[in-house]
Amino acid sequence: MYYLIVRNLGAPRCVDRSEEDLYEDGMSFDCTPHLECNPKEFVKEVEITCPEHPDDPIIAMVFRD
Amino acid sequence: MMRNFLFLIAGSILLFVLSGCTSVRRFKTAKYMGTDNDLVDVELFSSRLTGEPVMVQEKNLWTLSANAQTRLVQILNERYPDNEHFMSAMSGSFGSTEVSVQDLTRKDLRMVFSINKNRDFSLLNEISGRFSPADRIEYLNFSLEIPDSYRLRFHEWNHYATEYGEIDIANVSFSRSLDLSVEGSPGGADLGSDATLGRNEKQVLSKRYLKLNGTISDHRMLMEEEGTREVDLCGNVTADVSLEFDGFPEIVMVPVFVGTGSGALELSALNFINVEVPAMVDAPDTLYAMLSLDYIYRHVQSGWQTFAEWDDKVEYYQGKMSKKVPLFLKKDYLPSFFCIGTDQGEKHVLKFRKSSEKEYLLQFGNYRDASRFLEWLQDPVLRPTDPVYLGSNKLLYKGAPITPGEMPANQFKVLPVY
Repeated sequence: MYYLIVRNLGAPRCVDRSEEDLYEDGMSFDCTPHLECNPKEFVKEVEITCPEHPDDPIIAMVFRD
Repeated sequence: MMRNFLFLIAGSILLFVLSGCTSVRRFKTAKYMGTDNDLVDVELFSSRLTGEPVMVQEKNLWTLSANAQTRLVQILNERYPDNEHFMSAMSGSFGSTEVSVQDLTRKDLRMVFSINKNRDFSLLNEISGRFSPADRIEYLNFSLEIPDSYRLRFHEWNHYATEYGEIDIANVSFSRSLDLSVEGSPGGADLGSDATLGRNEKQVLSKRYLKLNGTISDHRMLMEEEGTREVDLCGNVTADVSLEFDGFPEIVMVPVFVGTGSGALELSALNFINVEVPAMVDAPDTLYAMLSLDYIYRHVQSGWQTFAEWDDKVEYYQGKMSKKVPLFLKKDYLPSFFCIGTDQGEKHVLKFRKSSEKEYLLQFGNYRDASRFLEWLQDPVLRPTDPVYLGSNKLLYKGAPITPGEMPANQFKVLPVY
């Protein structure tokens, strides 16, 4: 399982999870969920946006279990 | 003929003397002396936030008008003759009003800059000294710059005040002049009724003004002051500005409780509010800005014994300085959200499932809401083995539904989110 984790004000949160590594730069995700995740191995960094702020990209980290 | 010629000569001399001795002159001589960066200093000695938005205002007895309060007390008195129940009903709330502002990214900041000149009286009579009691700061240009990395920007000016007057502004730039009264004491000189000034000179002096300019851009605010005769720019400058962080979306729960006759709280409604909080990867303890100052210093080499400036031999110095100053503390910009959970070892908090695969943090906009919600969760009225629903949303702990019966064993408490 792959996890997409964003960090804001020092607090990390898992906003998406997927069986495959679908995460790429420029994708948009709902940034409000706090999913239960089990991140163990860092995979990569991607630049995503939240739908509320399409012009303000944020750095997210992809992990896998 | 000779007599007329003598009168003409005498008149010319008198005119020459009068024009040379008038206080309309700015100085006797002026000379640019170069750079000296140690004559003036600036400090940001106070910066504080004002006007934190309130997300939800609770309705209770005390928020009503006087007539409504009287009527409500009469109704409660009829309905609850027992004193204990009556007091309990009086302290209850009966709904809430959502305030339209749910944006926590905007901060109103009041900054007080203190501009000082170095006063070294031991150099008073030294030719090479650069201090006299008549010295003044003639021109100031100071700026405050925020690093790009904070994702914080200046939004607008609200107010700008100096020792000599103040102006209200509501735009991103301004340029105005302030008239000064002769009765004031600009530059420390008393120009009141004791001053021996002619009528014309008084009229001229009454038009003295201090020039203020300011501009603001995303990451920089710039203030410029220019004092005319006898106006020393030394002193405090207050600037009120609005700052805005980039936004990050959050969902905050606002529970609405009503008091029951037994004194217990009953959950009557749950509101989910979309809130914007500052977008910043980390939360540094202090946010810093770069304060820079350029100035022109008017040193009076001789002639400082008089208040008037026309007899001054002036030496001009220019200087600059810059320093890093603290702008915000962590507590100033972090939203004070609270959640419910346990922090023994690893931190685990309550969440809720809104739809399949979508879980959200159960967070509250203040400690009181979180505390009351936790109290309600532990109410024995709730069936101990049934999962807790918030409307149609299921309450979760460590990814699984939680029941009121499991609450005591987990020793839940109210925790800060950040």
